[in-house]
Amino acid sequence: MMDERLYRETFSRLRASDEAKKEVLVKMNETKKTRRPLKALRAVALAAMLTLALAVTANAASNGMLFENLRVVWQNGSQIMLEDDQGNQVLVTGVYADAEMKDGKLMLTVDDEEYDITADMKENGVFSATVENAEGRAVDVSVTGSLEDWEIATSFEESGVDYNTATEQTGRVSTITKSYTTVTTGE
Amino acid sequence: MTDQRFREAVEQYGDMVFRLAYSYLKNRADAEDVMQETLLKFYVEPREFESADHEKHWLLRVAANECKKLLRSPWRRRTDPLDEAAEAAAFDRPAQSELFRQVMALPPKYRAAVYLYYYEGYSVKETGELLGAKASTVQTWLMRARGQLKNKLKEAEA
Repeated sequence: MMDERLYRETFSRLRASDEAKKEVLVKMNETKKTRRPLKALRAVALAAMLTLALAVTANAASNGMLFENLRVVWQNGSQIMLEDDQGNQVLVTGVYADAEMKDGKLMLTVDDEEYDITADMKENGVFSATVENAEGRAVDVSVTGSLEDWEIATSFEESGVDYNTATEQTGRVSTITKSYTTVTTGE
Repeated sequence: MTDQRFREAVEQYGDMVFRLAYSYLKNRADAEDVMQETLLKFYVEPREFESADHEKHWLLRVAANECKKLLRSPWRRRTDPLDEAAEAAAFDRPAQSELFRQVMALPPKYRAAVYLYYYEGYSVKETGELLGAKASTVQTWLMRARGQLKNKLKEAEA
């Protein structure tokens, strides 16, 4: 049997460096760009999110909050945060979903996970599931149509958020299926 | 989330997330990247967590997903045997160094399951939820990990 006490003693010695902890505090405050190159589709998704964020800021401006000189504070695969010179911030979170034929199979991608939906689409003309994305959100995904002509709809439930909805169809460029925004006013 | 709360979270959860990530990835630099990425996601997460347990569960789940993503990524740094040896050499007792080496010789999924079950005290079912696996699968991983460790530690003693 494994010596559990020895295991705990041993692994309690394993700690992140102070430098790494300090760095994450700096990253919290500073402009942060994604360190790894983005896949082409992700770049498209982020561009769509940026467009959406700008639309949101315009909307916010009409309610008396004026956003000027926006800069990207940081971004990752599914979120982008913008900040103006007054410290007002806009956070846009998106769920990425797309489908494409690969080697005769219809592969659905939700964030970074891939699902083979060929059998469901062939037999029933529909694929429906709740999947968990990288941030731990339960995302309801529904694909309807055929292997050649499909439509994806996604949704996720969270209270108190502002939803912006669109659906993805075969051949369309837009890849953001659902996103919401959070606006924080600076001091 | 306030900056102060985030600083507290870095202290409170930083090492926990790092340990899970190191267990998965066996590489300090990658594990520290995962720790930072996970904590920054926590910083911008808009939801209110129901409890401290819920918060911890969310962080470990996100960290496990980040690790899986990194394992599939071509940008991942490869494990450096010297890095692992340096970690092993930092222990006080030879028994700790030996156990560390033997645990690190297990497959990544086994190492992560062992960490969550034995160190964090999660049940088999909870460990499965965190790693995105069935409870029966986690049970098998743990059983195999125990078997392999027993054999390897015996070999080392001999």
